[in-house]
Parts: sequence; C-alpha cells; structure tokens
Amino acid sequence: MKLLLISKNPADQTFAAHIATMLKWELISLDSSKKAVEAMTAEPYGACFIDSKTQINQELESLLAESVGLFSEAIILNATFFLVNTFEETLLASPFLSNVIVRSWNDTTVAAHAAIISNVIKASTSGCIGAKDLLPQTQRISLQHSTQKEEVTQAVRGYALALGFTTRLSWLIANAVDELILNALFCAPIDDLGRYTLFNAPRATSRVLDSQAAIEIEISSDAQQLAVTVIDHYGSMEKSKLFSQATKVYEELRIRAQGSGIGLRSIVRSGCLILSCEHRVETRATALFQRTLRDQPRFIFCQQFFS
Amino acid sequence: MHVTHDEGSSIFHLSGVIDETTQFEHHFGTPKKTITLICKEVTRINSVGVKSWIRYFQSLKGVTIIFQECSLAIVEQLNSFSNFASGGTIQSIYLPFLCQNCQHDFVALCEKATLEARQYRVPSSPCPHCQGRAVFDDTDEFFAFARQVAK
Repeated sequence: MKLLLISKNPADQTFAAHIATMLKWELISLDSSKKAVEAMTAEPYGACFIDSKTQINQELESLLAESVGLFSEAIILNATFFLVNTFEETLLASPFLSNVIVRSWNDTTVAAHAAIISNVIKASTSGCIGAKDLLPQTQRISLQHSTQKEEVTQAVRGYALALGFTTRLSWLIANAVDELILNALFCAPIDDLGRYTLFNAPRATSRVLDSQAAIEIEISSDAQQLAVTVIDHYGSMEKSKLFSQATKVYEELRIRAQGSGIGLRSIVRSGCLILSCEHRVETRATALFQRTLRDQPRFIFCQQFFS
Repeated sequence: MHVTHDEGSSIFHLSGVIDETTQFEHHFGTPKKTITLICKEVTRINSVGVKSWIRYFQSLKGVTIIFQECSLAIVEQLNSFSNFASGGTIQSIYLPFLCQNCQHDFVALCEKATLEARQYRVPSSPCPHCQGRAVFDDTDEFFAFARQVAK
C-alpha cells in the first residue's frame, strides 16, 4: 500500500515517514500537482496526506476535476488527510474534506502521535470503526432510556479514573460522552426521507431507546489511551455540517436552535474525534483521549461508507 | 446543578453538572443588584448547559455578576465563548497542576489580578501528596479568556 505525501513541510515529511514505517507502507513524496494527480488516479492508495496551505493543494482540485472529475472513485476521501496548523484553517470549501490532522506534535512526541494516528488509519481501512477497533480491552453498554445518560457518563468517568487518568481528564471524558450521547439522541434520528426528526426537540425530552433508536456505547482502553464510542443506528451523519460546527473559532455564542455543534467543539479541544458512518445503517462517534492532556494529538476524522 | 446561599445573601455557591436539567431561573429567581457566584464545585458543563447559562445571565439587565473561584470547567467555557461571563467580572480561577513525581493532579486558586501581574507565568507548586514538584498542567491558551478581556 502507498502513502502519498503532498507537502514540502519538513515536519509533515517526518510525520509521514513515521506513519509509513509503522504501517509498512511505501511513502511517496509528490512535489507537483501534476505528479500528485497521476499518483492519486493511477491506483488506490492507503492514505494521502496533503498540506492544506500548499500551492499544490490549491491546484490539485482543478487538475483532478479536469482529469477524473471530483466525484471519481479514484479520489479516496476517507483516506485523504489534510495537515493543518489549527482546525480553524479554511478548508471548508474543499470537496475532499474528510480528515484533518493538526500539527500538534514536536520532535519528542512525533513518534507517539504517528503511532496513534497510524493505528486509526489502519483500523479504518476495513470500514466503519469504533473504540473496539482501536484499543484492546472493550466493554459495551446499551442505553435503554435517555435518562440513563448521566449514569453512563459517570460510569465512564469512574472507569477513566480507575485507569489512572487525571481528575481533570476524567471530567473532560465525561463531558465528551455526554455530548456524543446527546448527538445520538437528538441529532442522529431521521425519518424514511432523511429528515431530522428530533433535532429541535428539547434536550431534556425523555425517550425509550429501542429498535432503531437503540444506542450502544463501547469503551476501550490500553495503558495509555481511552476511547469511547457512541453508536446510533441511523447513519445520518452530514460531514460538511459536522466539520463546520466542530472547527469554529472562539466566538460569541448566539443562542439559537439546538445542535449548533458546541459539544463537538468541546471534544476536539481536549481529545480526538473519529466519526465513522455507514450511510443509513449506523454512525460510530468516537472520542479518543491520551492519559496526559498536553500530549493529546489533535485530529478529526470523518469517514463515510456506502454499502 | 446545586445552588446554595444564605437567606438574604447575594453570594451563591454553585456545584455539580450544568446540563439540560439545570433551571437557572429556579435557582436564582430575580437577583439583586450584585450577585457573586462561587464556582469552584462546578465539575462540568455540557453544550445545553452552556446555552442555558449564557441565556440566563445575559438576561439579567442591570445586575453586576462577580465570578469567584472558577473551576476548570468554567475556565474551559470562558475560553470557548467570549460572552460566557455575560459581562461579569472574573476575580479568581483555579489552575491545574500535575506532580512530576507522583502524577497526582490538583488545582490551586489564584486571583486573576495576580496572574495578570505575573504576566500569566505560573510557578511550580509543591504536590500536596508527596511534596514533589508540580507544574502548571496546561498551555498559554488556558489564559486566553483573560487576554481577550484585556485587549
């Protein structure tokens, strides 16, 4: 498998080299948009890392549109990763936007960040992923009723503390679980026509969670990491909407309709977010945390699968 | 969320989780001219709680709000939304520390004025568990809200 790198940034080259080594993939550095298009369309690639600010990236879109079309299967969106300095960089216009990795590593942490990210990339090559695909020890909980949210949130927090996570991180993890469950409860449900049915419902609304409304939670861990996945059975994730919500900058919060994405933003400030959706089947929303807040890699992966 | 205060006092002690079940009107009623919120026991605030908080405190026209002993959860929101304090004054916040020796994490209270005077440089602190050296466990971004206000 090949890892394509479209970046002249030395930090990206070091990072990509670590990932390629860990995945045992061939690293191919591309220094022109023409070569990048040739490599992307020649054969399927495992991953393509693109420096969001590079001139090549800006040319890439039009060249790909001319050669194969922007909706060609040759462009593997789930395997395209933008490398950015902050989440707020303007990427929203890119039709390739699926995964964003912030250059939050330094010389000391680059290998550790690469290991975490290569683990996620490897897992996601085979489809929709959740916590159990990332870390070895997994527990699964089913929510029977929406009122169990706080109980589950506290249980996950207790688990994080038992694993040796700091008190502060345990509260951040609890909040992430709370937000992911709220999303599954109110933002995921759609009707047969794909219309959101509970998006504007008061968030204190109590609901029985059975059949398609069922919500499962996976908690997986190893010595250094904890991942929590909330699974809904609607598969209704809208990638562009989620990205615009999760990457908004510090601003004055205007009180408006529900679901403005501040929950997702709170997760990506303290951990990593992996949204994996099998269209109209299920969405697995995972928050991944390292034991030390300062060492968290920062990324949002937003992957869609169509069966 | 729980709120306690002495009869006739304008000092409110907030504690627990602020979420979709929190009803600020129920806890605070019609506040007096000045209210002081002691926030050290606020453990977390979810997105619905953030909106309710801002909606309620912004609706208090002519009321001076003073925030004291802001927990890490409160600072997190101050750093996320420029109107979270709703025009109120932040007097003191808790800072996160992590012991380099035993990895114990704890918080220490600091006046905002002191932080400003020190230009947001936080000295190490002795760990209450092992007396080892504990360091400030965050980055400069932790004080972003204070710098925004100072601009």
